[in-house]
Amino acid sequence: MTRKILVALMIVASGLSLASGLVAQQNVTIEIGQSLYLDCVPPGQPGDIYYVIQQSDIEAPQPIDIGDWGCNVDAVTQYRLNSQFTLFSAPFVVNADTSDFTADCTSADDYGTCAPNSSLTLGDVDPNTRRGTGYNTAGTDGADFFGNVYVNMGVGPAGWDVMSSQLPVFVTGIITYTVTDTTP
Amino acid sequence: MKVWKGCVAIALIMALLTWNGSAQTSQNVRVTLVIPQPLFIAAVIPSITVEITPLEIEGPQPFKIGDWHVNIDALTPYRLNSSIVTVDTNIFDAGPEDFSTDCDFADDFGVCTDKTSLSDPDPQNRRGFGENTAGLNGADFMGEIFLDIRSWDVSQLPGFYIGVILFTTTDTTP
Repeated sequence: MTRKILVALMIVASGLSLASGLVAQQNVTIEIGQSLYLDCVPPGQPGDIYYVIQQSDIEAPQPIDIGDWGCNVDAVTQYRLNSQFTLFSAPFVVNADTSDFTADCTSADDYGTCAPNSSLTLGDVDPNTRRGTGYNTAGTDGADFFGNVYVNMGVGPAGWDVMSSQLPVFVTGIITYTVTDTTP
Repeated sequence: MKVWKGCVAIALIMALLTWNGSAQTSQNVRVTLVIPQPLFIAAVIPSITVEITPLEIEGPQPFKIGDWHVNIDALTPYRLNSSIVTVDTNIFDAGPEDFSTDCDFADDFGVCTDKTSLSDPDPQNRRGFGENTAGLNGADFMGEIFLDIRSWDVSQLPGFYIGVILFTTTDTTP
């Protein structure tokens, strides 16, 4: 009963204050259209990978490093970063496919953490294709993730078989990077 | 009027924000590998110089005059051939058919053949074949070179024969 009386008194007081111009009301609306932003060609970092296979690459221990990758993530949520081939073409190299390519993650900052997985295989799934995870990056310049991309050309009868009649031979593909909200 | 202008301004700002954000949660990066040459061959022994003495004339024919050794880096199946080409000689009846060879060692997915000719076309002059060698130090093939001088007629002294052995690799991808 006492509680009801108190609430009634507060409502009356509030009405009196508004009426007398002592209180103003301001509505606040914040819209978050997107909670994750991904930029995999950040300033000063490589984007596309273009690599010419030399004799020394054939003799080198496999896999060989063919280039770097780098992504910057702005986030107001928890997330994971994945990458894998979504397109691949090697019409003149028998035995070549996306499972010959791998990636590592060597550096992550601003609450980003590298993952140990390495698969870039087309059709493979998380967590095999996961490069790292992270958190809200508000107030920072975004979480930078860096790593390397490798290729293993195999060896022996199961190794790559390049058709000399088609030289120079090109192996092309698209690696797609994605960020996904991991809020439970 | 003021309200209308304010609405237009807000709409423009919203549009610009959306544009500048280039909001995306996925991005593509193109990967291009170029393979300009899938076969590399290197001879890893020096030239052969032999002086014929009575020992060679009396010895069984053919007799060994030296070794050969090549190293192959490959991103494709291949075969290895070798042939000798006469550069100059003053010996009657001396020619490529007097030379022969063998292959007695091959590694890193290389396989020797038992052919001995240095003058006939493939497969008679085939020394061996192999596969992709990525990650290895290349397939080594080794063997010996022989000479048979039973047909030679030396009439000018000093008699000489100068030749070049060419080693070739060929892509055998079907």
